[in-house]
Amino acid sequence: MGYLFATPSWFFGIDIALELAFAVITLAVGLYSYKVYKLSGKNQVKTFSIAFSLISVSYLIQSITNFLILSKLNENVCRAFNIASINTLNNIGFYAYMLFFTIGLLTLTHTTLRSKNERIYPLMFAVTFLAILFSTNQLYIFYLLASTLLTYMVWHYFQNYIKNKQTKTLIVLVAFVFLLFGRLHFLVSVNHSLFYMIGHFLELVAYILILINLILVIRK
Amino acid sequence: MNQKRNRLTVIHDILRVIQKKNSKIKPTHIIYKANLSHAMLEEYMKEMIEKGFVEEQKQKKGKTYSLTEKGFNFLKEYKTITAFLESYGLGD
Repeated sequence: MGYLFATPSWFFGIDIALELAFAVITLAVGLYSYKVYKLSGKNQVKTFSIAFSLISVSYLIQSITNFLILSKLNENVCRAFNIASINTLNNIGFYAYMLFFTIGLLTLTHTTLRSKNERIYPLMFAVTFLAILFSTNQLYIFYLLASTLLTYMVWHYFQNYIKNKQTKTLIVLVAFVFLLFGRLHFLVSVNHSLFYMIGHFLELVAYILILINLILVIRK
Repeated sequence: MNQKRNRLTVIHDILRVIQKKNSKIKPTHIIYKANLSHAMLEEYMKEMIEKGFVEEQKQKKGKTYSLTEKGFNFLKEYKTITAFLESYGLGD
């Protein structure tokens, strides 16, 4: 299955820069939450930190894959790893991105459940990956599952905002609404190259908001 | 106090009490100043010693507690920690 999107030529390179920026912002949240975990000792925060770090790795992989596809390096990489074609390289990159992003999102969702039952996480993990693995349209299922998990996250952050009406809780809520739209858009989109572009811009707004929240928290 | 304090706030209150007493305080003082029961103090102290926020010193007449560097750091960063936890709904 080929996952190469027909990206508009003017968007070449911009997507790589955006993915790299998403990786940096999510890594910053991951590292900062790890610092909060070290100070507070709350295991929930440690899981939150791992979730954001995994999402960061997924964006980094996506960025590197797109960079390799665009650059002349791809032939050398294909030769070095005995990869048949650029399309195979793209598929490997996309599967790795999908794997890390899904685990990250699952971990983030599990964090908000506050469940002490250790069996819930492996169950969520198994159901999600079996659904993707045995699907005839893995890309569609990936976006469907990501949208479902993000819908739950939006509900969680909406409840958090209602409970605690502050600018920072509103920023996080709006950021996750944008992340949800970025994924949901794919499910209804017929023009996937346009989706690729719009999806990146929606995610950009979301991560800028997440960065603003982080800056507001640190400057407090 | 109208609202029930969450776990992090109780830890903060205990550490503040220890800090105010120049980092050496008897358990009975903490119970009184931080508004805790004896059972709660035992539970929280065990947790805070495990996390490295507090050190216990055994004296001839009972024991005293003092803050560690990590405990001081926690107090310094408390507002930032709570702001971060609140923004993502990670509180108790």
